[in-house]
Amino acid sequence: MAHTQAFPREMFSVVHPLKDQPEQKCGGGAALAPMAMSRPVRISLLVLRTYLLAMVALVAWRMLAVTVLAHH
Amino acid sequence: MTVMESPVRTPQRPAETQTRVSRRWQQQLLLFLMVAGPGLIVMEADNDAGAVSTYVQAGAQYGNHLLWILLLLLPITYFTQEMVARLGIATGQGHAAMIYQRFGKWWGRFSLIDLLFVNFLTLVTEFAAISLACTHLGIAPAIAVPVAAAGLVLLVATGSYLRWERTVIVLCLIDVLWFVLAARTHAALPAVVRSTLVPSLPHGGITGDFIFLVIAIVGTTIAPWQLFFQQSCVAEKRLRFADLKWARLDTMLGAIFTMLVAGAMMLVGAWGFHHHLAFDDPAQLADALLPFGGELMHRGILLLMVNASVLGATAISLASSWAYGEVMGWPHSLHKKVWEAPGFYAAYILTIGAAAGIVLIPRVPLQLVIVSVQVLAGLMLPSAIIFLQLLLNDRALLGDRWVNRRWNNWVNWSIVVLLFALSLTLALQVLAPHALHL
Repeated sequence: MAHTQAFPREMFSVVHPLKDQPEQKCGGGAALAPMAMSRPVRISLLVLRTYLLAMVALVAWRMLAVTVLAHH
Repeated sequence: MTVMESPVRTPQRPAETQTRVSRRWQQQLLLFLMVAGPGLIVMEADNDAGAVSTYVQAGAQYGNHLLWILLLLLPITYFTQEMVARLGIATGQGHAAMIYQRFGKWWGRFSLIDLLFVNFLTLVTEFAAISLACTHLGIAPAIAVPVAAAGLVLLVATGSYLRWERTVIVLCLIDVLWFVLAARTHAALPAVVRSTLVPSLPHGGITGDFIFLVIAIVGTTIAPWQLFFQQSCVAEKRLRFADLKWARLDTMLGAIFTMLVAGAMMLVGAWGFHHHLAFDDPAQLADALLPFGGELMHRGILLLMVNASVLGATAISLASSWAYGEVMGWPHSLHKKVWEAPGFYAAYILTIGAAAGIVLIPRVPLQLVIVSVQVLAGLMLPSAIIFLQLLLNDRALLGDRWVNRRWNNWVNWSIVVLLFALSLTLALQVLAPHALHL
């Protein structure tokens, strides 16, 4: 939505975003359906899951090591 | 920005909502000033207590040798946050809401819980820094911490986004005083410029400590909460499509200002390095520099440490509260009074109160909290950036106009890969320190 306009006699106006009329946003502003699982999206989420599992395993291993050390 | 000449295409607005000026440059400047805020705040609030500690430590350990990293990080922070601003303007919704809606409940809850947890721990470190700095200023933590917490609650409880934004912008601009402190170190300007423009290594070469500090700088410069904060902030401010170029400028200027402030922090730390001073935190540095820099340097560092913590605390708490409200479907806006958005304000007040309370408990293992923040932030950042990148390639959501261009994707996937590598290295360094011995 445009938010500036030229007036006669070279006058310009500016409207603050909070005082302007609402715009129609992408996605319609309502709750959206889940994203289509295209190949790049699937691969990205798979890489992310693998990364997170690896990090959880690393944390678990570290906690185990610290626990074993504490008992000796 | 579009200057509309045709009255047919110009939406009619009440005259009282318009500000009229006679020059085009005045119009452009005014529009920028109206749109600016979220970019500057998200960048400068990232110079929080942890960042002050990291940058000062970098200067103390390596003098001016790490200044070039800040220059390298400038485009990375800008490109990351530009994506967030674009997504916020295009959808008018927050980041947590977007992840929840587009990737489903599992990823939505994972992102939210991860964000809330790491934000809370970071908030504890902000209050710990307030407690530490005020102790060195002669103010008891039992007074300073509750007063700071009450101030942070009052800051948002007025029911006005603009009042909050203007106050926080003033806090951001107070960081200009870092330049005054840096000037008092009498650092040689040509050497500073050379260290910034020409990458160099410290005399000891690349060591484990050096790598750790580099990763810590990257980690403190790009934080997960920033993605959530700026998008929610842009949505809260109801920025319009035509405001994007001003939002980009706001983000760019915010990034430049933040990097300059970070550089000034490093120069102050480097002054300690040149005087062979030993210190573990910025408050100790302030004490150690008293004989050289006088009261201005001493109190300046401590007060700026408090300012950094307050800035970080309000931004981080709001990032959590906005995200929680978005996912729960509650009213979540600073435009609303406390009784109109009770869940949103309760989340903000509870996190502030709990974090302040924890800091006041004697013998709380704050070092463990700080390490946990580093690890969790490192774990969360790649996932947050991946979601951001996927959302910015979502044509079904954004259409052709607002999705990433090909060059955007090359730049951003490079950043994702770099952050993945650094986050993994950071996590390894913290969790398995012997694995990275060089």
